[in-house]
Amino acid sequence: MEKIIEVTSLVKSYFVQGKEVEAVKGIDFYVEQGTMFSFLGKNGAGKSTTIDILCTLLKPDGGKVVINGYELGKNDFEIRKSIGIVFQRSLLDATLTVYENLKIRGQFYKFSRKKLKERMEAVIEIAQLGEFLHRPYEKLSGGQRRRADIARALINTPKILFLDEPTTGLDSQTRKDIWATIRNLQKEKGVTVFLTTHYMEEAEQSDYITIMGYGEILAKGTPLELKQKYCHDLLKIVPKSSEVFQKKLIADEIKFSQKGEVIEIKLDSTVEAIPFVTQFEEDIINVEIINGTMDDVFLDITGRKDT
Amino acid sequence: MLTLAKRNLLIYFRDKMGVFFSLLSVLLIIALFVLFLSNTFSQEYGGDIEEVSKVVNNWIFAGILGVTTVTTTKGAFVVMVNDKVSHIYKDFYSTPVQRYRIVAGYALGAFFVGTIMSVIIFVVLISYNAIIGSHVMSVLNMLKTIGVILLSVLLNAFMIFFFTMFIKTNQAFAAISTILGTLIGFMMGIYVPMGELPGVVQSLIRFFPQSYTTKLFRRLFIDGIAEDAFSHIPAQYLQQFQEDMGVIYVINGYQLTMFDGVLVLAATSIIFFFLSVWRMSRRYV
Repeated sequence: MEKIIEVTSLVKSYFVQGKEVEAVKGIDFYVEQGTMFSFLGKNGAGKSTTIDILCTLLKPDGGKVVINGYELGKNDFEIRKSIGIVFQRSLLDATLTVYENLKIRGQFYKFSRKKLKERMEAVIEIAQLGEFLHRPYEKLSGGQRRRADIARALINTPKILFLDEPTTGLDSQTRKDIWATIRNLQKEKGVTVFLTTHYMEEAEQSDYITIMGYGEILAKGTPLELKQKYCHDLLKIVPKSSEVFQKKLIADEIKFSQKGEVIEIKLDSTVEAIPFVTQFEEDIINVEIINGTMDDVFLDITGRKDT
Repeated sequence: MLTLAKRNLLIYFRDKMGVFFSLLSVLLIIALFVLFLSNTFSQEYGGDIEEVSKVVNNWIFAGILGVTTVTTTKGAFVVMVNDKVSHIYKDFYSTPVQRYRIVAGYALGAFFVGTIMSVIIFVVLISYNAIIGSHVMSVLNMLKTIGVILLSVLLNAFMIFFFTMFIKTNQAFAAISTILGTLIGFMMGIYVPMGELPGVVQSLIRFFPQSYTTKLFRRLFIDGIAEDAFSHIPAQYLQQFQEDMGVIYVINGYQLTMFDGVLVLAATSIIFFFLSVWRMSRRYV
């Protein structure tokens, strides 16, 4: 597949009170066209700085970025034409209606009157703005605002849609709806989606994940690859007699840890539990298998340097 | 540039209470002057009381209109500061429009707002004169006044735009607004007749380009009635009166003409235009 975003040794530093802080320390990654790409990291990991650079809002100190075939710093206008951004904090005008907002922001792309009208109709349809189109933005609910933001980001038919925490602060139903809209854009319209999120169950649904921390890329891969590499399933056993059971485990050279009455054993895959449980059937009162989650992956990767 | 200017107009006028109160504050000043200060001033100059009070009223009106061109134009820059504080500019910067054009849209928007609001106040003043049966200026002078409004608002738009580019917070803008609001009447010489101020202060006021706006407005507002009011006293008193009241400036024996005043406004507009462009070219490429 074609690489629609390619980042090579990207560097960016800030001066905070006279001290140089390296926010991005020479990172490399790429995004394939038409995929959903999740960009994760704790607050202050350098995510926002990276996104601002990709969106041409911030000049990098070094490195090379190519977006949609255009090199950042040389062809910024072409890049801006090919991207749409849903900012973390909404940037539409509060007192103007959704319609006015779309029309004004659309005019920045210098479409003909007819083209702009077409685009507006299209995004109103995609984001389902019908019922609150003529309401002032400030009077909208959180979910409606997000819809309006997405419509704004789509006004120029972008090839790449950047979404900076699009579902933060929304209730779970609204989150699902917004997520469905985004998903649909990627699947149906072939838009490349580049998103940051704090919800791991959302990241899990993307095609590729890159985790950033301390200005560096800490891990990358498909959700499955990351899970296989960084998290384990956990077998929790309540034995009839802890002492007897532990002796047996030690005799079999099985690693375990003890938490109260519960003995925990790490597994590489869930099925490994079956022969194990059969083997010790008579010693066990209760068994529980915990599947590894993206949360574990995230915590494992981003937490490592802290300890 | 025009898109952003139109958007700023829409946002500014959407806040109906805001617009109402900014007009009301000017109208209140007019009312206070007419009701209280006008009498005090008129008595001071004596003469034919009715004629003198007409001159004094129009003298005050001219000053108020001058201040209005500054305060209303300044008010429109709230949108610019808000956009900066709430990072709305990021959305504009992510579009294929040159940044200097975006930033220039704020100056253009403020120019429109300042012009509209000043013309409204001008119409109120003329209407008041017409209703109370006082002197109403000729149509030619009205057009000239509107010309001066345009020029003055242009100067204010560039000047305030230039300084607003350095402002990063709403608080800073509010603080500067308050200081400007307090000082502007004084700097434009509208509260106290020029002749009653110390020489240094007079020079300071002459150095302030916006004071030429007031001077031009005064000329236009009292054109025709000052002569009437002073018809039975020697001409040099009229000259002295106009000088004292800041209607005309005399610098080193040279009396500035109206055209000179226009030149001062135009020249300072151009200076601040280039200063703004310089600042923009450093920050908003």
